[in-house]
Amino acid sequence: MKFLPLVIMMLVSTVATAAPHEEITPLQLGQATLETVKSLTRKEKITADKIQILSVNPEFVDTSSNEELLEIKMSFVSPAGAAKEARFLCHAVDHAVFESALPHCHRVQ
Amino acid sequence: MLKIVLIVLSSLALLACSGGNNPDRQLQQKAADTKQIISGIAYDVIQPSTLTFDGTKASGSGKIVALTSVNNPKGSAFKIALDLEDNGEVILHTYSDNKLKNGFDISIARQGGKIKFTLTSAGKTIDYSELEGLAAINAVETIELSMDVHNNESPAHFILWKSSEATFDENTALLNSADEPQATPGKGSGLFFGLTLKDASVIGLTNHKPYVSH
Repeated sequence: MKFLPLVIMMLVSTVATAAPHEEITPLQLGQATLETVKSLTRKEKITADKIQILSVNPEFVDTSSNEELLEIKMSFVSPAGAAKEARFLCHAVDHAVFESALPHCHRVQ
Repeated sequence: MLKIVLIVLSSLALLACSGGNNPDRQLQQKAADTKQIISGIAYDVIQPSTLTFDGTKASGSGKIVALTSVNNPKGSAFKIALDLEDNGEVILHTYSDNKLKNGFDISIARQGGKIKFTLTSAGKTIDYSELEGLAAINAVETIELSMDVHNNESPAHFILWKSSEATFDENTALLNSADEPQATPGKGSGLFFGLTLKDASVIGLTNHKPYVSH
């Protein structure tokens, strides 16, 4: 987990610079990424250093709802040593469950 | 003369209000009068049943709707304690209509010593019985579970814990739908909650604000 802050900082600064989006703040992006990493470590029983962020798409459009979401793809190494991938979708803007500003992510793959 | 007419009309209006139909008051009165209570919450039986109530719990088979709406229209926590006979089942209906339809349903059934745990909504069912923490539950003993239903997400976000946990967060959950590619089957479209029992006893059911606030 010690590399986690560094990974998030790098990710946030990269995306904030390269692909600015009026509806997703760098803070929200960082929070969403942190949430997905935590979810993977929790579910797969791995440490954060086994996780690599493959891509972040803040303009992913869900065709069923036409909603714009944040898509995060990751690869990781399972405790058994197998290479795997995971994909998360995050409600990017004003998800605001219970008046919280935190974006919420769920794993779809 | 005009004053007298006004006084008579006002009196008639007041009489009409005081003696008129007031569904809210009737519901409150019904809740106050009923003996069909679990954990202090009054229920209405909505299907012919063999249910018996002893003032704190319900036992048998039948369907009951709470005479109050869910704690929060966005999301709620439910804490339930129940005993199941073999092949018995309890369905907790959340965010449903007042007939307990069109909701987000959590089913806990017993098959021998194991539990079958499913989520149903929008005509779809997801079976989480084989999930590590759930498969380890002994269905012969009293089952005590706590859960969050965040119904303002689509599909609803569902988090489940053993009620014996010291803390209720995403790290201690038995099941967190956000971690599962299957997620949940949908979300409810009402504000009522209630129970379907089949050869079961519900010892306690409380409804309060969610444990996890996002």
